[in-house]
Amino acid sequence: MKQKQKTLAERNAVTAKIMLAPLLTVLLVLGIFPGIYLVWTSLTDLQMNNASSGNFIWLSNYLALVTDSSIFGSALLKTLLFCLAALPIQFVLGYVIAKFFMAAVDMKGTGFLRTVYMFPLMITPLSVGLFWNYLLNPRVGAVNFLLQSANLPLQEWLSDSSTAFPCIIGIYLWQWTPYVAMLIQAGLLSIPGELYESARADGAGLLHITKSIDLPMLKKVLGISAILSLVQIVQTFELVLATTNGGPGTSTLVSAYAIYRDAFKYFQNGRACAEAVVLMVITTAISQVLAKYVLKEED
Amino acid sequence: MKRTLCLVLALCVMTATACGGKPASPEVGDSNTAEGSGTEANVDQDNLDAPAVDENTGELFSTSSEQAEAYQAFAAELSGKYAGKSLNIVTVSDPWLSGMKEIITEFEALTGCTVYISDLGYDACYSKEVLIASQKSNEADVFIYDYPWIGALSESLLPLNDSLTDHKALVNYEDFFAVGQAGSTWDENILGLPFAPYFTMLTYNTDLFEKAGIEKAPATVEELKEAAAALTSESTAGIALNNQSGTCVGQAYFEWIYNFGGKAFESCYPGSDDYYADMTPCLTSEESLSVVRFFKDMLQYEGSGALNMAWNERFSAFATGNAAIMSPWITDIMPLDDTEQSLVSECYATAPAVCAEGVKQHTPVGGYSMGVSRYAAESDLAVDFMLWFTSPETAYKFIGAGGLPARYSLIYDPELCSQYSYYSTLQQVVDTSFCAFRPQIPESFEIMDTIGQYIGLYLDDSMELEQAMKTAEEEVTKLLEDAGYTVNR
Repeated sequence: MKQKQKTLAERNAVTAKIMLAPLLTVLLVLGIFPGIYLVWTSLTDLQMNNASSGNFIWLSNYLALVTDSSIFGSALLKTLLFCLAALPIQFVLGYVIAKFFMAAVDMKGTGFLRTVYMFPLMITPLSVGLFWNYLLNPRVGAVNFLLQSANLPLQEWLSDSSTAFPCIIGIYLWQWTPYVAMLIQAGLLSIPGELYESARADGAGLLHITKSIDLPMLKKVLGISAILSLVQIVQTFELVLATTNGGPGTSTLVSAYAIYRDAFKYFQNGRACAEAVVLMVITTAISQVLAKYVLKEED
Repeated sequence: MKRTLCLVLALCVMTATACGGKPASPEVGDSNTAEGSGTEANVDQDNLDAPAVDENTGELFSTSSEQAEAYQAFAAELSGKYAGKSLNIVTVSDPWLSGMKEIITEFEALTGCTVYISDLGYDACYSKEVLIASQKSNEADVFIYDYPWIGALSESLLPLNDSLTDHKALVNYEDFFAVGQAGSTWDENILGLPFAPYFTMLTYNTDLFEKAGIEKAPATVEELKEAAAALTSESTAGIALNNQSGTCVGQAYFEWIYNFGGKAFESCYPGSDDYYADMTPCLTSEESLSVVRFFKDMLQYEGSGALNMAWNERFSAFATGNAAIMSPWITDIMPLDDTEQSLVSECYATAPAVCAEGVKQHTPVGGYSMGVSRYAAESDLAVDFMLWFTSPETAYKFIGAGGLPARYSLIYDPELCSQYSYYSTLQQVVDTSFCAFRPQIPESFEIMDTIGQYIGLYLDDSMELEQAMKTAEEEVTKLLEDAGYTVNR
């Protein structure tokens, strides 16, 4: 009789499992299943517009990515270049903006300024792309109009392969730097004011404060922001769709757009899934390295 | 470990989700040209509620008395026939859609059914139709499809040969443009009825032509080059061409290759017995290289932003008077009469697309047909809708609502000819037009994109012409070989 009675802890464990079941189901349906299906599809020759496709072809799609003069390979490199170029600028600018708002907290109009600088975050990337496409239009765009007014040479911007990719990076930074700035500002707010007071009392300058207080204290925030920004760059797709469609040539063909093109324009779904898996593995690996480094102390 | 798992799952989901008149100046133009007139941009609402009546005879528009009787009987049969039922249409959201929706309300009133329209951008519509077809879903009863999609949808569209035989008098199938019939037929099965064909036409600014002293529309490539050079100034581009890398310039290549006397694939050319019998790419032929060289030569007359010029930008450049010539789809000609969209409504004219010296002119044609899904939940209703909508009577009203002509009877109708001056250009090109200028096979868009990608690299000075086209040819060859087409290396 005694053996059949469950302890409070056991009863709680059962309750916990029941309570967790819906969440786990959602996770299974929305997270694990699509992941498994993605990997499975990458091992087939599935073409949505071909009824006789869908055959299991082992690793052929992956081998093709390595052996063919694959455009996806150059798209991956382009995405890597995007990360290397955008992330440092994004973090430096984000830090400067966050410090500015920390310093100007009592200044009049700061609230308004903060709202304005957060504005790009509220716009969908597709709208941002269309908006900048008009601004950078060499013929009727406002940017060239300003250059003309200042007697500076007009630029082709999105029509020239030497300027198109920097433009894409610039538009990305315009939209997403406030996001990093916001995270950094939240991190700065958690640093005790006494540390700054002591540092100043010891005669520390801005650079010294940045190096000795802000960066070490913001390590986790910066690490998490870097992971989120990395994922955001890897997912950059609408911006390219609305501005250059990957051109001129292949100068702005980033990996997410290449995957979209293969999956939904060419209907090479097996190949697109293989590309998505490769991208996922690379992104996960980089994120893991970052996470391991940033969250080391917690472990 | 848990953190790793969560991160992998989150990235998994994110990555998986990652994988569109008025008489112009009479001094300019010749017998080959047609000058601007009002069309779809100004939807004639009165026309929608009134029957398609000929103003002179007072009779309903029809192609013959037999056809008119068949229509009356068909309309009577439809009355209340589908009360309580619903019809699902998947379509692109092109400019004629608003007119189509207006006309559909009449069909709903006549039959008692409810029509649901899922309208999407070009790529999204193609994806959705292919997806519905591959899933054999009954989500859609009617597919509106562009001619190149027919290969991908052929297994999922209901052959209409028997239905058309049963309604021979009503449909008057021979009245549809031959090019529309060809574009809607696959392996001798009629898989749809054309209702919105898009012809490309040379369109030019008559004021700028007059100022430059050019008296007639260019008919050959050389004349086009000379005209573009003469029309180019600091403020105006001589010509606006679609140069944006990828599908855009890839499609432009297919629009021009046949009028340069070339062909993209060995057996795919106007008049071929079987377009897809031998799909060996001919991208490095002299004619092919001439087309791409022509694109680059013309850049000097196109002004800033030329390399990112796509359909909308081209229209905008011409409609604002910033470009003197373009060679657009008919749907980009129709809004030129709308003074809210165009500054050139008083001063443009159309002419057949130019061709190289000594080459027979072929007008590239795309455009839309409607077909019935094999898996339709309401296939009878879908077939009846299609017969009703494409009948001469409704087609006439569709034009009044902003639609396009798909029948000979319409472009030779005196009343319509007096309203839409570009019909005279249509009359000149309708029987020499070519619907398979973009191959109607599932790989069509990948081919266009691949070719367009390499043309883009050449236009951008990133690659030599021969190298670009050779690489494009190799990639397209491999693509076609992998897909099982006959390709001779």
